[in-house]
Amino acid sequence: MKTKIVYYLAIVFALVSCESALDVYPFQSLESGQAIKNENDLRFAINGCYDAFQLAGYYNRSLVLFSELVSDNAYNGGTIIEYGQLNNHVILEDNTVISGIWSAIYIGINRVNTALYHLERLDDIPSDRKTVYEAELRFMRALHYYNLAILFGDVPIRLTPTLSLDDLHVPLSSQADVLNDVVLADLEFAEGKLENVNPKRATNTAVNALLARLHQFRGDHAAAISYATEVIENSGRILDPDYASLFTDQVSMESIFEIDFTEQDGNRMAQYLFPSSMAGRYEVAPEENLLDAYEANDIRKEASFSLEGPDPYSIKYNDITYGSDNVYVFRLAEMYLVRAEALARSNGDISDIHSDINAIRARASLEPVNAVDYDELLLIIERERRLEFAFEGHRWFDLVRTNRAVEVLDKVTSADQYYLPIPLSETNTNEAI
Amino acid sequence: MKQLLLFLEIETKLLMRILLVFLILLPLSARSGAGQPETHLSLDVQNKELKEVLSEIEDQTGLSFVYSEQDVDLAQKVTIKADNEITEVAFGKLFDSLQIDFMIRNNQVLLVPALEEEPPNRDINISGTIYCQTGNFPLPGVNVMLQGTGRGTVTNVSGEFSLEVPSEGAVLVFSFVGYKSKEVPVSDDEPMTIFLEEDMELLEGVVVVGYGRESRKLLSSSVSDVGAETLERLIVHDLGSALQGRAPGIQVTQNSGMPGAAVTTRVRGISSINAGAEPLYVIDGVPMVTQNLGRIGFGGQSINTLSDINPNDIESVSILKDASATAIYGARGSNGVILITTKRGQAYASRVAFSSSFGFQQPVRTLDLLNTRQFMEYRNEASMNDGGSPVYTQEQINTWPHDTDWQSEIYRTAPLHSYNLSFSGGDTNTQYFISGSYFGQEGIAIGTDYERINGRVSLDQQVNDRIKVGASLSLSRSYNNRIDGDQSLDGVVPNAIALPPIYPVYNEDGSYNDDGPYGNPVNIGHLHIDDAYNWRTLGNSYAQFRLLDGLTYEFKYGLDYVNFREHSYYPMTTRLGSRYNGLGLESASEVLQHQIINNISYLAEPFSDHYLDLLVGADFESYQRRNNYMRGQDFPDPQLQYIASAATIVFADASGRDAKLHSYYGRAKYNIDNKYIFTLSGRYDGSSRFGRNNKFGFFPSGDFAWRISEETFLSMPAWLSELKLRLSHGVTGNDKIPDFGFMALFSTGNDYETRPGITPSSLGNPDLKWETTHQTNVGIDAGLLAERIIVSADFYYKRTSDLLFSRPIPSSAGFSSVLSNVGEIENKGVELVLHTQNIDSQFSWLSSVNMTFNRNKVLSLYNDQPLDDIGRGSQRIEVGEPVGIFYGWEALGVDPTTGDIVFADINGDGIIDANDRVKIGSPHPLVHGGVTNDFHYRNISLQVLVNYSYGNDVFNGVRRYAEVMRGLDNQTTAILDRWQQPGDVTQIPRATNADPNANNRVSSRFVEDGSYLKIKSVRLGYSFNRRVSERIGLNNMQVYVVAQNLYTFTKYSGLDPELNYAGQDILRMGTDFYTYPHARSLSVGIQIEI
Repeated sequence: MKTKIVYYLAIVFALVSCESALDVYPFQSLESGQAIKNENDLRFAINGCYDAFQLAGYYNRSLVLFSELVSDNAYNGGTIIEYGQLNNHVILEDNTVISGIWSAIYIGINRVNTALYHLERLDDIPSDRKTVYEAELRFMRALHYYNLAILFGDVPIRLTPTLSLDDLHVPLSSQADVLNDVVLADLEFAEGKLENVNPKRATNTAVNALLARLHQFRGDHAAAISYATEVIENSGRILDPDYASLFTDQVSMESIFEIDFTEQDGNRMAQYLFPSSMAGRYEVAPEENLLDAYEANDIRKEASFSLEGPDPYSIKYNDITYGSDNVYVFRLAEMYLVRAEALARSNGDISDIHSDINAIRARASLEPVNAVDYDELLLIIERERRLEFAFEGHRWFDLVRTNRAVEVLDKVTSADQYYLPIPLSETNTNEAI
Repeated sequence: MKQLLLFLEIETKLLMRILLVFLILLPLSARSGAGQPETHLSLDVQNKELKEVLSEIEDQTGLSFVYSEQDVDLAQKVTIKADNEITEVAFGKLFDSLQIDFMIRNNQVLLVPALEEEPPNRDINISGTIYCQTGNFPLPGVNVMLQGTGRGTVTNVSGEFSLEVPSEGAVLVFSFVGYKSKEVPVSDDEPMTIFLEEDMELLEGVVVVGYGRESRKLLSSSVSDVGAETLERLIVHDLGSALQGRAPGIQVTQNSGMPGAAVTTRVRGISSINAGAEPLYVIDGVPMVTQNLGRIGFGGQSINTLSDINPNDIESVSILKDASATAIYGARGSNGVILITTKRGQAYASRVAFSSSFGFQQPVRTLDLLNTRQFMEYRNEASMNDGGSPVYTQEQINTWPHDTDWQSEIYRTAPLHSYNLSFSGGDTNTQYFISGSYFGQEGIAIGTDYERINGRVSLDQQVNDRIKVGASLSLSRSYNNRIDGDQSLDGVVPNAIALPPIYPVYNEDGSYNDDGPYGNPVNIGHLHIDDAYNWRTLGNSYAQFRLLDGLTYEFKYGLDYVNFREHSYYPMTTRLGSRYNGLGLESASEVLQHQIINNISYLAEPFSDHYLDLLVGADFESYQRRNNYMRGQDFPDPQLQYIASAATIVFADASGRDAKLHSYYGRAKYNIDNKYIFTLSGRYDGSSRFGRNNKFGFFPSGDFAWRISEETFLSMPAWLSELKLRLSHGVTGNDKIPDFGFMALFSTGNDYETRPGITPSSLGNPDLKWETTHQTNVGIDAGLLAERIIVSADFYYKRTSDLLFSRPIPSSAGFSSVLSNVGEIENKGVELVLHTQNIDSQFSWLSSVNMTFNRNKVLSLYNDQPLDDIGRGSQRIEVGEPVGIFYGWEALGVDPTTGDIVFADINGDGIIDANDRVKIGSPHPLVHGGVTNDFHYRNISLQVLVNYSYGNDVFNGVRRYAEVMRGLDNQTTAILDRWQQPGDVTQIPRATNADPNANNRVSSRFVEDGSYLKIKSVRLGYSFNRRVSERIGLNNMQVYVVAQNLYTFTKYSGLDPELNYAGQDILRMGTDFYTYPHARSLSVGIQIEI
């Protein structure tokens, strides 16, 4: 009997002694240390960086719609309370749309920083290719920080990836520092180092366009003129003769940088813009005074808006089924208006200004302008920008940049409202803020 | 055995006698001759001694008598008269009365005492039938013994027995497990009818505990249990409802009235924030898969995998609460453990049971909403308050053709029905149980129903006196037809509330009208397909080897296989479907969880009054889950609902996940004289989920029980029949953290331009481990007045540290949170149970009351940073407060001059902002529990079950849309009292779309008292007399009518204070947001036994 017991116990303890079987590995994820081992992995990581632009808080929806809602372009025709708050400029710190934008941009930044970190450690990539990858990544980072700075003003600067819990708390840096130390620095590094092929990815032209935008914001008119001119003259992009075809499935010859969305990887623009009777949510509906601002012959109105019963809605993004409409970050028309504005602000040649504005107006089938007063021209440029880029996410930033928001928008009574509050989710957790 | 001995004894006596006869006869036979001439004899003696009579015969006949003087009493007096009779006949007359046998051989007459055979004239055959006193049904398998002898029998299937007993002085002893033994003297040979009384003490005498059973009297830990009888009486169709209000320390919430929807179960409060607070479910020793396998979102409402279990198959449910009871489940014990034991066959108790019920359900409540005129007037007012023009003209208001009551369009009276059939029985070596059941229910909202089919077989076989094996297998298939609810813009219930009455259900051409701001709920209810099919195989097999006396090894293999498939299709003719030209979703999940259990138990031979019971074991558990999910769009025809017809596959994925758990556990129980009981138990758990630096955890516990009433030196008052004190302390864990949560990971699928993308997705934490709960329990059990009153009280303190916490980190880091073990929560509370037998006569009344007072408090968090603004009710986790308080602005009322709500300026800075938010409510009840009353009078029984919750708040998220007077949603009639002009004094602010004051913000305005008392079930039953049921061939027959959710007493203004849009979510409990309401039902049913 005793032998038997020993035998049984042996069985039990034989089963006991297999501890290593607790090692189980994930099927859908990679352990961080194993994720980026070679150049191919790095390319996948860079794809992941572009993927950040597709986040809901970013060019997928919120960033673009935000600018329309808080300006005079649109009102909240739907039911989302947070959109209503934006529209009314009752923007609380816990507004989830705002915290969504904040975290989406920082997710993008961390992805770029992570890729840069690994890039530096991959020895088998030739240094010339390394430089190209770095330029591509730093262009993306510059765009992220530019967006942050114009939304929130002062924000934390992070240039290294978050690898452990020791890297969490970073204080705010001033908007000027962000723009100068990060955006400008990254762009100056990237300048001239990229190819000029695919407008869905970083290109030299995109770098120059962002530089033009940056300098426009900073009021460095000469630089803005110079970069805008570079893009207009040397990028190979041309104004698409048909405004409406900018918003079709085809990549336009005017596109400088656009975020790619596909059927598998769609955005929610059309869903939020279309009226409910067309299965949309109508959260962001065009204001009447925007539609009234178009001159009678302006072909852009028809190309931008349509009517469903009494309800006007934007048709720049019209794939409600899949959300596969690409979203523009830069297109060439902006560069004409950047240059015109910079010229007007720096007392530039009136005919050059006319020529830039009229390039845009001519495509819209409008008569050329002939005003000669700079201030009047600036207002014309502002209006052209509003109409040309309606529902493309520019209006609010234009009014803030030109300090015209208080004047133009009823609900904005002071420049204190120009920058969004840092979200509660950040201020509650970031010990350095 | 006794019978066998008796038989042998009788046989031996007989044999010896035959032998004696032969020995005597053998020498005589030589002299015996054939053709013996017939002789005659004449005698006439009166009262003479036998000796003289024998001499006289010898003289007269020449015969000589041979006998032993020991056997034949020669002195006895005899009287005989024979007139020349044949000698044998005369001898017969003489000796028969003297009990003497005679034999004549060769002139010799051998006299021997007559054989003492069982004389038929001395014994009688007694028969009878034995019934259960309360149930009035026959009892098979009852032992019937003749007192003082080994003679006995067992009742047959019909409870009948028959037995030969002595005609005088016989006493029969009837005994049966679970019943009080009864001694009945036999008075005549009329058939007996015996009623056995259930022995409540013995019947409830055994409680299932982790890896074993325990006598209730000797139980030293805190365990509540619900027996089969209660479950059968409840007429519930799922386990969750069965436990609701039935036992202290467990809180069951039915989050939604959707058929088949999951319930929330909390044992002794919430001791986790992010790792789940649902208890571990163990069925017949094997942990069950209880997670939500759905891939298609349904707000917070998941499918209840527990509802796969047929409650009629359950023998008992034990709820393990204190650390001493749960520590043997180690890293899974913190949230309590629910042990389900299924029914098995019993020897000599063949039973066929059938039950069926049929009923109807209706919504308990609907909301009072505006009609068309009221809606239009409100919309005009809102627009004009903002300086706009009226939306509708007076003409439109007067003549609008539609006034749809959407709620009445989607609700219906819905049937439910169930059938159960089971066979059980066996003999001493083999027992079986076979059952099958069907349950079908339509939901009270269109587009919902539920159906379940169960089959179960269990078999136990004693192979020999050392080996016992057994197996049980249960198969179930359930079908859920659901509708999207809660958070959805395409939900039937939400849209029926939110959609204004100004739209018709149908257009003039008969098609569905879809002009409203939300999809037409009737259209959605009828055309959206959201099916879920669950196939479950739950099985286990075991082999027990008795190695030595008291030493047993058991091997058990358990398996839970769940195959869950979802099929959804939204045709292009609904709003959601039209967006995609028809949208189809398919998901399939397969989960295989299997476990090998090895344990050795040793029950030492009692030494004096010392008892020792030991258990050690090792479990190996493996979990595998595989999913796939597809989404297709662009269907050519609304009739084609499978993705084969979709032009575009938008999304398809397949994924897998494995986990493993290795555990070693043990328990030692030491009992002195059934008075002092000590237990030590513990488990050593290793999990693939735990971080590399913390792969294994140890969870010990100890307890002590003192049965004070057994002490002889203490003279207990007579009315105190039982008094026991229990103390326990121990450590348990909660392992429900995400798999690979400890690893820093890159996720895949973050693609761009259809090229693969990888991105950092989590920071990782190699120290990640289980949550640790230290729990102390003090309990008192008392029985009064011969157990007519049973009182139990438990006092516990649970402190959980190392909270598995997805702690927020600055989102500027690129991650919003990281899994860590930080923070502490405590739960402390009191549980009371009172069972009383109020009246015990022909009319009997039993009642049971339980109350649980739990106080939950967050003790610390990471840097004590609050977790803020969670869910619809803006809930918050904050140190010093219970988990998930409602946190927002305090609404002080409506300013009569502006019509806007005045919010409290808490910090007095003149600005109402995030800093002015305060605690505005708590979803935790102060006390919850249930009350059961059982009444019996003759054949009639009545049960009333009530459950209640007091002191909890509910965030009425519906009102944040339906009373907000902004936008296009229909509103409740509460807004008819709205502020309309300066000077109006009211609680309802003005209508405004712009709402510059943010009247609609999360404020105390939407927090309501959610206390309730529900008459959960009232059941009236009638048992037919046996005469009647027997006439139609049944042993037992009962009919009943049962009403569920009969009435709810509450001040809550929404549909039901028990509703919860976020399901089992810990952080978002107590929020009502367009959730599918509960039904009230009325059913009739029948239970019969053959």
